[in-house]
Amino acid sequence: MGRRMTVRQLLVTGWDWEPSIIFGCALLAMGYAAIVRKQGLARAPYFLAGVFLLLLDLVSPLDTLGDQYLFSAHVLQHFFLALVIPPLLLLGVPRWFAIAAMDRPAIRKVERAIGHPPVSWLLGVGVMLAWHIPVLFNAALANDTLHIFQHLTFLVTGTIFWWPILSAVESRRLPALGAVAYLFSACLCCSLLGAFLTFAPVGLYPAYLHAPASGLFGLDPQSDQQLGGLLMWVPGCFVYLTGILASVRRWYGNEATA
Amino acid sequence: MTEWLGAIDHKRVGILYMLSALLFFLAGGMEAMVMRAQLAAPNLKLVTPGVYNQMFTMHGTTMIFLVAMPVLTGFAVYLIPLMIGANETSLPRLGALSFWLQLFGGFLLYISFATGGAPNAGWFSYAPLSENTFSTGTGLDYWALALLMVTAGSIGSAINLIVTIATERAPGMTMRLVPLFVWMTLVTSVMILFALPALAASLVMLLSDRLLHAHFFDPTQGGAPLLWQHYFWIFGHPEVYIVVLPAFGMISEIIPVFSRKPIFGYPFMATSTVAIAFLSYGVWVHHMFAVALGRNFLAVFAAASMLIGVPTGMKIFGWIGTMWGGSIRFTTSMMFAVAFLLEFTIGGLSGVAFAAVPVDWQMTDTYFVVAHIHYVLFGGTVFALMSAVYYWFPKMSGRMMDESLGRWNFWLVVIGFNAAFFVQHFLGLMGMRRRVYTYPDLPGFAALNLISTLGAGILVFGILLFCSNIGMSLVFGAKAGNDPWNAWTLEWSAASPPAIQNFAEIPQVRSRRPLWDEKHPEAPDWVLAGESDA
Amino acid sequence: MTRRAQFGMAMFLVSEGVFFALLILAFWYFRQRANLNFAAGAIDTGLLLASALSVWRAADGSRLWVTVTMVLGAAFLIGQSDQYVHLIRGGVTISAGLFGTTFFTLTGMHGLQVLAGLIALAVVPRATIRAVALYWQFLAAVWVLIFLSAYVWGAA
Repeated sequence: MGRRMTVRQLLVTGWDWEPSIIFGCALLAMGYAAIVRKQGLARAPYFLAGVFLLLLDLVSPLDTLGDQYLFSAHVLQHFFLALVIPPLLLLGVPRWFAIAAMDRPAIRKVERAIGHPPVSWLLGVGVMLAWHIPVLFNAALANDTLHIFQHLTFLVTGTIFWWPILSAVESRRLPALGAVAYLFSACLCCSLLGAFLTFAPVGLYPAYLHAPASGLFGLDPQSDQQLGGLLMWVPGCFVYLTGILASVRRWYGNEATA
Repeated sequence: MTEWLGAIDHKRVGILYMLSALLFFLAGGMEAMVMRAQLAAPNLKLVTPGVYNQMFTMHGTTMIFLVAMPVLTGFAVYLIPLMIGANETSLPRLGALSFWLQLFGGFLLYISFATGGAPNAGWFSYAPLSENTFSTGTGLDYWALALLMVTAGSIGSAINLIVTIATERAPGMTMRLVPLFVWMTLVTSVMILFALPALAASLVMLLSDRLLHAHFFDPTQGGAPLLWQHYFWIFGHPEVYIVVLPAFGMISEIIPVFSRKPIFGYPFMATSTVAIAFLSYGVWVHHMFAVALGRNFLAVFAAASMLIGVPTGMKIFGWIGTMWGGSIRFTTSMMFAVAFLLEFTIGGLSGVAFAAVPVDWQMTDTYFVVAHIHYVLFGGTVFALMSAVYYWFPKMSGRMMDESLGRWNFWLVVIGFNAAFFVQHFLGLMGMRRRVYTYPDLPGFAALNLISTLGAGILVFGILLFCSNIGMSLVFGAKAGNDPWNAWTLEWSAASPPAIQNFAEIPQVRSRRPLWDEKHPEAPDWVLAGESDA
Repeated sequence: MTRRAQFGMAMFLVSEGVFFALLILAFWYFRQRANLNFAAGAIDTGLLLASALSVWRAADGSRLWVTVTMVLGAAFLIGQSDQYVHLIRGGVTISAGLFGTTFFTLTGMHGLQVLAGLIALAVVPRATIRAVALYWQFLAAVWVLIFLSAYVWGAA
C-alpha cells in the first residue's frame, strides 16, 4: 500500500507538460491554420478538436494515471489515440487539400500502398493487438522512448486505419458493404482482445500491481484490469458501430421522403 | 395432402410454417391457461409444482421457438419472393427442409410429455439446475435435442432468405429500394447466422454434460455455470430482436398503406434496423445483472442497454410520423398496427427500466419481467402478426376476412391482453416472484392475480374468434381482388392467391412503391426522388 | 445454381464460425493442459491441410482429386480416432475432467463435421462440389486453430 492521493490532488498535480508534445500539437494546429486560412475554415472544428484532444490525452492527469497507476486509464488514453483523434483529424482534412495532395505521384503511390483497405486494416488492427502482448506492453511502460514510439504508432496507424472510411477523397472510400465488413471485422478483433483482458487473471501487466498508490477510484488491480478490458470491448465497439451506421446512412443518401 | 408433404413452392412452405405455428400457439396457450388457472387464487393446488414447472418451461420454449420464429419465417418465405418480383426462393429445397426440421423439433419437444415429463428448468435452462444432478429425467435431453433441430431449421431458412434477397430481386430493385419488410428480414436473417450458433454450442455443451458426463457447467468438477449464462444470452438477447424485427417490417408495410402516405424517413428506418442488430450483441450481460459480476460489467452493459432503446424509439417516431397528416383508414389490420405502437412502447419502457441496475436487482425474476416480455412479445410481435394476417390474408387466400368479426376479435384481444398483463407490472413491483406455482395471500396479490387470470380468459376468447375468422373467411369470405387495399408493393400485382409462377412477367422497378408508379404515371415516385439510384 | 450454392455455403460457414469460435473460447476459458501426442497431431494436421489443397483442385469436379481428398480426410479421422483411443486408455475421458470435457467436445464436433464432409464429397453432384470444397477448407482452417490451442498452447 503506497500513499493515498485524492482525486483532487491528482487533477491539480498530475499534469505532465512535456515540451515535445506541446510543441508538436502547436505545430499541427498552426500548420493546419496556415494551410486552410485562405480557403475557409469549414472543417476546422474537427481538426482542431482532434489536436486539442491529442494534447489533453498526452499531458493531462490521464497520462500520469495511465503510466503509473491504472491500466484502465492507460486503455482510455490509447482509446482516444487510436479511435477518436484520428477520425477527427481525418474529418478535418479539406477535400481540396486532399485532392491536391493526391495529384502528386509520390503521395499517390504511398496512398495506394497503405491506403489499400486490407493493408490499412492490418496495420490498424495488428498494431493494436501487438502492443497488448504483455512483453511489449510492459517494455513500453518501462522505457520512455519506446512509450513515445508506441503512442506515435497508435496515432499513425489509427489514421491509416480510418482512411478508407473517412478519406476526404470520396473515390478512396470503401463502398457501404465493404465499409461495414471492414469495421465489423475490426470491431470483432477489438472485442476479442477486450474480452480476453476482461476475463484474464490479474497480473498480465505487473507494473500495475505495484502502483505507488492503490485503490484509486475504488479499483483494485483485478477490477482495474477488468475495466480496461471492458472499455476496449464495449465502448470500443461503439466507435466502430458509429462508423458502420454512418456508412449505412450515407449509403441511403440525402433523399426527400420518397 | 401428399402435395403439401412434398411441397417446395415457397408459398406452400410459408403456409405450412404458419399452420404449424398456429398449432403450437394453441398448445402454448393451453400451457399458459393452466398456469393462470393455478394462479387465480392464493395457495391453490390445481397442479403440483412439478407440473407447473413443466408448464412455464414448455410455454416459453414453445412460444419463442415453435410459434414466433416459425410464423415470422413463414411470412417471410411466403411474401419475400413476391415483394421482390421473384418466382421462387433461391434454395427452395433448403427452405422446405428447414420447415420440416423445425416441425420435427417441435414434435420431439412435445413427445417428452409422454416419456417421463416435459423439460422443467425454464425456457433458458440455467445450469446447474439443468445438469444431471438436479434434473434427472429425460425432459431436458428432449429439450436440447429438439432445440438443436429447430436451430438447424432456423439457420437453414435464414440462409435461403439471405441468398434470395441478395440475388433474386427484380431488375431495378436495388438494395436501397427494397420494401422495409424485406430489409428487416434480411437483417434478421444475418442476425440469426450470428446468434443461433451460440445456442447450438450451448446445447452441445449441455448434452455433453448430461449424456456423456462432461463437466462444462458442473461446479463440483471445476465447470462454470456462468459460462452457460453468458453463452445462452449471447444467443438470447439477439434472439428477442430476431423475433421482433420482422414484425417491425410488417408494421412498416401496413401503416403507410392505411395512412395513404409513404413511410416517414425510410433511411432512418433502415439504418436504425442495422443499429439494433449490432447493438443487440453488446448487451447480453443485462440478463445477468444479479449474478455478482462486478461493478465494471454492470456499468458498461447498463450503458449499452440504455443505448439500444434509441434506434427503436426512432422507429416509433417514424411510424407516428407516417400516420401524421395521413388519411387514416381504420381497418382491423390498421387497428392492430396502432395498438402495436402503444403496447410495444409500453413494453420498451419497462425494458429500459431494467437497464438501470438497481431497478433490475429489485425486479429481476419478478412479474415485472413477465409483464415486460409479454408487452413486447405479445403486444409487439403477436399484435403485429394479427395485423399482418388481416392485411395479407386476402393475398394468400383470395378472400377477405370479416371486418365486424375482426372488430370483436380486436377489442377482446386488446382488453383481455391488457387486463392480463398490465396488472403484472404491479405484482412485480410488489415482489411477486415468477416461476413459482403459487403465492401467499398478501395484500393485493389475490385481486390482481384474479384480474390477470380473467383477462387471460378474455384474451383466449379473442384468439378463438381470430381463428374462427380465419376458418370462416376461407370458406365464406368475400372474394378479394389482386389489390384490395390499394397498396404499393409488388405482391399486390400478383393474383390472389398467386399462381404457382408468381409473375407472368418480371416487373421493372424504379422506386420503392412500384405499384404507385404504375397507378400514378403522372406522378411516379422515381421522379420525386430525382436521382436514379445505382 | 453453383453461385447460389456457394453463396449459401458461405452464409452457413459464418454460422459455423460462430459455433466453433464459442467452443474454442470455452476450451481457452478452462485452460486445461494434457499430454497430447504432438507428433501424431502434427501428422493429422498435415493430412488435413493436404486435403484442403486437394479439394481446391477437386472444385472443378475432377473425380480423382475428390477421391484423393476423401482418402486424406479418412486418414485424418483414423489418426484422430487412434489418438482418442490412446487418451481414453490413459484415463483421459470426456467425463474424467475438464480437459477431456473441452477437448473431446471440440474435436468431436469437428470430427463429426469432417465425416459429414466426406459423405458430402461422395454423394454431391459435380455442380456443387465447389460449395463442399469451401466447407472442407473451412474445417481445415478451424482445425489449425484447434491444433494450436490443444496441442501447442495446451501442451502440458
